[in-house]
Amino acid sequence: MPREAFERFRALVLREPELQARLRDVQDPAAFLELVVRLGGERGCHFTSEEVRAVWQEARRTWFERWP
Amino acid sequence: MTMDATLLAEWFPVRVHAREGGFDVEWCHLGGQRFTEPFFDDTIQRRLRYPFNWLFRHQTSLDELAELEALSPGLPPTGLIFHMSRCGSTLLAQTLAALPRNIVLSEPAPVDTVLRARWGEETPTEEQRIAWLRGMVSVLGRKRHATERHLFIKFDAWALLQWPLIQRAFPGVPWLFLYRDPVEVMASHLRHSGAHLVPGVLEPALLGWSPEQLPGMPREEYGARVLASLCEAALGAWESRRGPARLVEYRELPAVIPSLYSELFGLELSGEELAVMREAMGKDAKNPALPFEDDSAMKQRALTGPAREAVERWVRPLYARLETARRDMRRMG
Repeated sequence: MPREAFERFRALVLREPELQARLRDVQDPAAFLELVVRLGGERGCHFTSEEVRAVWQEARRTWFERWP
Repeated sequence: MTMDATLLAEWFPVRVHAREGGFDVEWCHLGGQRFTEPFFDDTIQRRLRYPFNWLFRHQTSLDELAELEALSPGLPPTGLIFHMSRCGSTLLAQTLAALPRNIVLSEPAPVDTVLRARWGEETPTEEQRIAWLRGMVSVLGRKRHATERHLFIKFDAWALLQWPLIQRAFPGVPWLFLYRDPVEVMASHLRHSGAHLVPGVLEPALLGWSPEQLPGMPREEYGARVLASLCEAALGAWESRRGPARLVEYRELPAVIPSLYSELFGLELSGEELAVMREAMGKDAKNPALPFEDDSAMKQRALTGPAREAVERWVRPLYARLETARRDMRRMG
């Protein structure tokens, strides 16, 4: 399940400041998605950039729906 | 706590969400980003330009903030800023934030959510809310730069309606209330209404009203009565003050700011810091690319009809009382 793979990667990133440091200052969306997919794959978490983009869009939607 | 606290060192609460049986706190990585934008949310939005911050966020319970406060306390508050809205509070906050030794939280949404937690589906006790408020402010006030020494919180305008709780959470912390001729405040809201002047946004109980009072109340009257409630809360806080406090009228800005810094907050200013502050004082706080301009005369002309009548009826008497109290304060030194 790709979503499950991304969630495993997300949990890994949240536990590893070094991994965060590689990802957090990338502003270009395409470069960021490519890096997330690559770093995920290197750790056995296989998902596509489209799947990550969908998670991102969902996060944006939730954020604005919950706007105080 | 369930999470390793060291993992949250560079992360900050950005939202609080109600859930069944409690509240969750969402954390965003801010790194060394100082809170220098006009509002807390502007700083968060700036970080949200980075995709990382959409996809990777920590989550804790609200109760865990108290544990974090004990493990890694933030700076204790140096000053609390309350205001009537549209009266120069952003200019004041931006001037304080111009000094690298100050952390200035300007209307932080997580603090507002904690303060208003009582009016959601949950009904936490006052003790719980005080613990949450202290925990949230402590976590938001953590030092990230060696220069940081002082923490200021500019609350949302309606926070003063909960003055007793805030006073209990931060006893003796110097505070001020900033206000302005209500005609000018209302004129600004008519151009672009603040959230609290939109009927239904603030819980009626917060204003001491029953829900039945709202239907049929003209919009102008609603807005004027909300502003009146803020002024009334300020007068109540002023009359029951137990520590250093000041009433500040918009016309005193920006010249009064350096003296507030030294006389109210008890902080010395170096010549260099005064120069930095003066530069910030000369800017339009919400759009620092523009110079600060007093638009009182324009706003006085702009407000007419029922809105002006409502302001004169509901807010003017309280504004007059604030002015009397301020004059008394100055006379007594």
